[in-house]
Amino acid sequence: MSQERQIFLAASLGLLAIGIGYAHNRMVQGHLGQADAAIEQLEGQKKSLVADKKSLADLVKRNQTALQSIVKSEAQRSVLERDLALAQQTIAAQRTRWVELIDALLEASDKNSWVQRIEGKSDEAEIHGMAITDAAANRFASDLESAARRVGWTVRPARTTLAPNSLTEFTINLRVTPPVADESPPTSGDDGLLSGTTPGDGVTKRGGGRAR
Amino acid sequence: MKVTSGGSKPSPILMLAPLAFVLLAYNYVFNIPQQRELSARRATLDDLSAKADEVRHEHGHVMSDLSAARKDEKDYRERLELARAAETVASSNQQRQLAELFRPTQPATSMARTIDLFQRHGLTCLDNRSSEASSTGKSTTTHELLKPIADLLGGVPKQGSTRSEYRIKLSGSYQDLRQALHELLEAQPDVMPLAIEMEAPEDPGRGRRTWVLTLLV
Repeated sequence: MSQERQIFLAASLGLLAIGIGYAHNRMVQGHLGQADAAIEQLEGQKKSLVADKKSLADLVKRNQTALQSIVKSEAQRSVLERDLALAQQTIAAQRTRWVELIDALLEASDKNSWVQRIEGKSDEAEIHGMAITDAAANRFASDLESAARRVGWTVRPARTTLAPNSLTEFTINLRVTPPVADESPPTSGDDGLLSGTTPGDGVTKRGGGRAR
Repeated sequence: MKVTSGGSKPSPILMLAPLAFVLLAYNYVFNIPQQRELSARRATLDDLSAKADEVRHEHGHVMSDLSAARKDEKDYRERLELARAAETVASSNQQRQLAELFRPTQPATSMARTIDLFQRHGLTCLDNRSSEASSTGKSTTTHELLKPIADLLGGVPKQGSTRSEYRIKLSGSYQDLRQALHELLEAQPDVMPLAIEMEAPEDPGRGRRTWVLTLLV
C-alpha cells in the first residue's frame, strides 16, 4: 500500500471517528433533552401544585375576610336595628307618656282618693291628692303603679300627712323609666303603647272621673 | 515503523491512530461531561418521578379543596351582598327616622289646629305662649329632649331642629282633657305632649280644672 493510501485510510478513519463522535453526541443530547423535558414536566406539576396551594391559601384568606365582613356587617345591622327600635320606642313613649299617665290616674282614682294637683316636668311628675285614710292613699299609689308602670313610669311610695280636716294629704312622685331595647321588631307608631287603653275605658271603670 | 515506498505492508496501528485519537479526544472533551450531566439529570428525574405520585395525590386534594373554597367564596359573596344590603336598608331606615324627627314643622299651623282641637272638646284656652318666653324655667329644651334619640339614629343633623316648646293654659274637665289628648295623639303627629300640670281647684264643687300643657311642636 502506498503512503498516500495509508494517509487516506488514516484520514478516513479519523473522519469516521468524528462522525461517530458527532452521532453519539447527538444521541446523548437527545437523551439529555428527553430528560430535561421529563424533568420540566414533573417540575411543572410541582410548580402547578405550589401555585394552586398558594391560590387555595389566598382563597381561604379571602373567604375568612369575607366571613369577617359578613359577621361585621350583620353585627352593624343588628346595632342599627336595635338603635332604631329603641329610638322608635323612646319617641312613642315620649309621645304617649303623659296621656297614658292621665289615663292611669283615672284608673287609680276611686271614691276614697282623688287627685288635686299635678306638677309635671318632662321626665318627672308629682301627684298631690287627698284620701280618706292613709291606707287609701297607699292603695291609690299601688293602683297607680300598676297602671303607670306599663307605660314607663316608676311610681314612688306615697308621702302622706294628716290634713286639718282629718283627711290624708298625699304626694306621689313619678319618674320616667327609659325604654330598654328588646328583641321584638320595631314598632311603627303609637299602636303598641296605646293598645289596651282605648279612650273611655277609664271613664267607666272606676266610677267615671274621680279626679276632682 | 518501517515504511517502504514500494509494496510494503502498512502499519495498522499507524492507520488507526487518528481514529483512536479522535475517539479519545471526544470521550474526554464531550462524552464524559455529557454522561455526568445525563446521570445527574436521570438522578433528578428518578427523584422527581418517585415523588410524582405523591405530588399528583396532593394536587388532587388541593384541587378538591380549591373547588370547595371557590364554592364557599361564591356563597360568602352572596351572603355578604345580602348582609350589606340589609345594613344599607337598616341605615336608610335610621336616616329616614332621623329626618322625620327633625323634619321642619309648621308651628303656627300646628298650634292653631291644636287649640281648635282643645276647644272642640270643651276646653278653654287661657294662655298660649312659647316655652322660652315662659318664666317658669322648668321646661326641657328641645335639644336635650331630642339629642338622646338623635344619638341613637346617628347624631343630630347640622340644621338642628325647628321644633319649639309651647305652653298652653287651659280650663276644662278631666274627661274633656283626656279625650282631647287622645285625639291630639292621633290627629297631630307633629305635636308631642312634654308635660301636663293640673292646678288645685279654686272651686272644688265644679268639675273644671286649670291645666298647663307643655307641647313640643
